[in-house]
Amino acid sequence: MTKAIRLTRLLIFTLIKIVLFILIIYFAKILIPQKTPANINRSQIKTLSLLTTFDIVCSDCFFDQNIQAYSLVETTFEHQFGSQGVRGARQVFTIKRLVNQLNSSLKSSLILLKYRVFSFKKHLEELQAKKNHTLQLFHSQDNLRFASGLVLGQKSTEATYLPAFTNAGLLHILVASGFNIALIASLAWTIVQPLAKSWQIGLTLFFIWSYVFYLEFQPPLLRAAWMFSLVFILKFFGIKTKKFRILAWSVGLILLFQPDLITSLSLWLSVLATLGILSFSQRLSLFWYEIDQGSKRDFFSRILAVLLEEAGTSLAAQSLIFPLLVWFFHSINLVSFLANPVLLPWVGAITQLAGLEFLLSFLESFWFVRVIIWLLSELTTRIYTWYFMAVAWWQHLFFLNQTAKPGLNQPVYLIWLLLVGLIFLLNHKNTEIKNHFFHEKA
Amino acid sequence: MKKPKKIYWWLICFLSILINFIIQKWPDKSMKVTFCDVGQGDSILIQQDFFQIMIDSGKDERVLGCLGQILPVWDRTIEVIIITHGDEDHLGFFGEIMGIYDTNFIFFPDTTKDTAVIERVKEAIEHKQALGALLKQPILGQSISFPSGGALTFLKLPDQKSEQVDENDQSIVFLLEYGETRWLFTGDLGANGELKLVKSGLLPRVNVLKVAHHGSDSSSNLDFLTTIQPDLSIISVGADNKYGHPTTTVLENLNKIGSVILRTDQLGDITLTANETKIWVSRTHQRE
Repeated sequence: MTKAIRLTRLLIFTLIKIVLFILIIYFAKILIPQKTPANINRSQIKTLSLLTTFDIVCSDCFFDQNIQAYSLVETTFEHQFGSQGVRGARQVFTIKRLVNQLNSSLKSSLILLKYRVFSFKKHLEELQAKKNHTLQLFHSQDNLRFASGLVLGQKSTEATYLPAFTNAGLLHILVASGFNIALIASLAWTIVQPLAKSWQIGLTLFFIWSYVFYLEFQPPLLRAAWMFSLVFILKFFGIKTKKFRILAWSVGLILLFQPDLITSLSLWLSVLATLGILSFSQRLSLFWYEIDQGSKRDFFSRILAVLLEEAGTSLAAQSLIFPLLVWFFHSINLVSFLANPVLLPWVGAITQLAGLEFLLSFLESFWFVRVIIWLLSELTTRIYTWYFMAVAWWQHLFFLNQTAKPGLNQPVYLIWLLLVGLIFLLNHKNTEIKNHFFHEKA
Repeated sequence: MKKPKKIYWWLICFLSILINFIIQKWPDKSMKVTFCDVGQGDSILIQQDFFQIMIDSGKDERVLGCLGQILPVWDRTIEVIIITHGDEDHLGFFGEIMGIYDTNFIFFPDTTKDTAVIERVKEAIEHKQALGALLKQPILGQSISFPSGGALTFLKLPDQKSEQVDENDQSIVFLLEYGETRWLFTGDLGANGELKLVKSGLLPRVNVLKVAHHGSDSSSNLDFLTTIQPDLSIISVGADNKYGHPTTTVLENLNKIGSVILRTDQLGDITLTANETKIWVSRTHQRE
C-alpha cells in the first residue's frame, strides 16, 4: 500500500471519527434528562397524567387518600378488638401500605418513563424531519426517498421509481435490513480498533442499537442487531458461536420482548432469508468453485465470480422465502434472479455514500460541511440516476414475471419443495455426488 | 526533478471541481427573481448579490428543492421574509424554512385567520425574534433597498380588520423597481383590491406581473391589466389542480393585452434575470 493511500485512509477515518464524536455529544445532550423525577412538581405530574391518560391525577393525592383510609380502618378495628388484637392487624396494614406506596411510585415512574420515551420519540421525529428537510435542499424528492430507503429503510409509496424496483425484484434494498446493521457494525468496528477489547465491543453495540433505536426497532433490524450482539458478546467471553443457534436465539429474544411480532411478515421474511443464506450460500459458492478459482487469473473471470457469488446469495436468500412471497404477494418474480446479481453488488457502496451524507447532515450548521454535502450530492445524484436507469432496464423482461393464484393448489409449491429437498438431500451426507457437485475435497 | 506525489494531483483535481462549482453558484449584481414551482401555491425568491428576499413559502417541502438549487450552499441567511397573507398555500412551510435559514427581517401582516399552521409560523417567528430577527408590519410606501440598486415598495396593505373582508383581499402588494424594469407582485389579491389599487393611481406600467391568486377569475380583471400592461405574466399554479386555475377568463384577459404567459405548472421553477434595462428568462427547471 502506498503512503498516499494510507494517508488518504487516515484522513477519511479521522473525519469519520470527528463526525461520530460530535454526533455522540449531540445525542448525549438529548439523552441526558433535563429534570429528574424528584424535581418535577405536582402541576407537571398532572400534565403528565393528562398526556398519558392515566387514571390517577397526582401521586401525592394518591398517598394521602390511602393513609387516611388506613387510619380510619385501624381506629375502627381498635374499638372492636382492643389494642392487642390491633397489633397483628397493624403489621399487616403497614406491609400493605408499603406495598401500595411501592405500586403507586412504580406507576409514577412508569408514567415518567412513558413521558420521557414519548418526548424523546417526538424529538427524534422532529430531528428526522429536520435532517430530511436539510437534505431536500441538495436532492430531488425521488433521490432523497431512495437514499432514505437505503440508509433508513423508509420506503415511500410516492416514489416514481417504485414500480421499476418492484418489477426487478429489488424492493428489498429499499427496506432496512441486516445489511444496514452489517454496514454500521463494520464501520463502528473499524473506528474502535485502537481501543481496548471491552470498549470495542461496547461501543460497536452502542452504535448498532442507537441505529436500531433511531429507526424505531423495525423487526428485520432487531433480528440482525440481536444476532450481532450475541456474536460479539459470545466471542468476548470466548464462547463458541454457532450460526443457526444464534439466529434461533435472536428470534427467541425478539419474541420474548415483543410477542406480537410473531405475526410480523417482515420479521419472518428476514429470518427465513437469513436462514437460507446461512444454509445454502456457502454450498452454492462451492458449486462454482472452479470458476471462482479463475478470479485469480483475469479480469472477466473475476467479474464473473462476483456475479456468481451475488447470484448464489440472492438464490440462497430467496430459497426459503419463495413460498411466502407466492402466498402473500401472489407473484413469481423470475427477473429478480437475474437482476439481483447484477444490481446488488453496487448497493453497498451507494449506501455508504448516502449514509455519509446523512451523517454529515447533522453537522450542516458548518458552512464547509454544507459544501462537502453539496459535492457529495452532485456525485450521488448522478449515481442514483444511473442506478434508476439500470433498474428500469429490467422492465423489458417483465414478461418473465408471473402472477400466482391465491391458495395452495399450485405446482410451484411442489417444484420448490422438490428443489429445496434435493439440495438438502445432496447436502445431508458425505456422498460422491456431494463431493462432485460441491467440490468439498477441493 | 522529483515527481509531485499522487495525492497532490488528487487534491488539485478536487479543488478544481470545488472552485468550478463555487463559481457556478456565485451570485452577481443582476436582479434574479425565481418563481418556485410549489404546486398550487406561491413562493418567490428575489436575489441580488448575497441579498435575498423570500416572498411566501408554498404549503409544503417542494420549495426546498428550489431554494437548494438557487441559493449558494454556504449562505444560510435569507435577509428578508415577506408573508403576503394568511393562506396556507402561501405561508404553510415558513415554520420549517425558518428552522433551516436565518433571517433579519420578517414582514408578516396581521391576519384574521387562526389556524394551526399560522400558530406554527408565529412560534417560528418568535423563535427567530429571540435570535435577533425583527418582525415588521409593512407600512404603505415603505421601501426595501437592494445593495446594488433597486427597491421593493409596498403599494397595498391589509385593510382594517373586518369579518366581511375576504382574506385574499388582505394580501399585501408590492412593486420591485430595478433600473428601468418594474415588477408587480400581487399575492392573492381579488378584483375589489385590484380596483382600489387602480383608483389609488399608484400603479405604473410594469414589465412583469405575478398573476394574482394562481390565475383565478376572482382576480386579474381587464381594467387592472390594461392599467399595468405587463409584458410578461407569471402564473404560479399546480398542475391539474382541483380549482381549475388558471381560468380561461384570466388567460383570455392576458392575451387581450398581449402579455406573454409563463406558468410554473408547465415550466417548473422559472428564473427571470434583469440588468437595468432588460429582463430575460435565464432558467426554467422542472423538478419531479
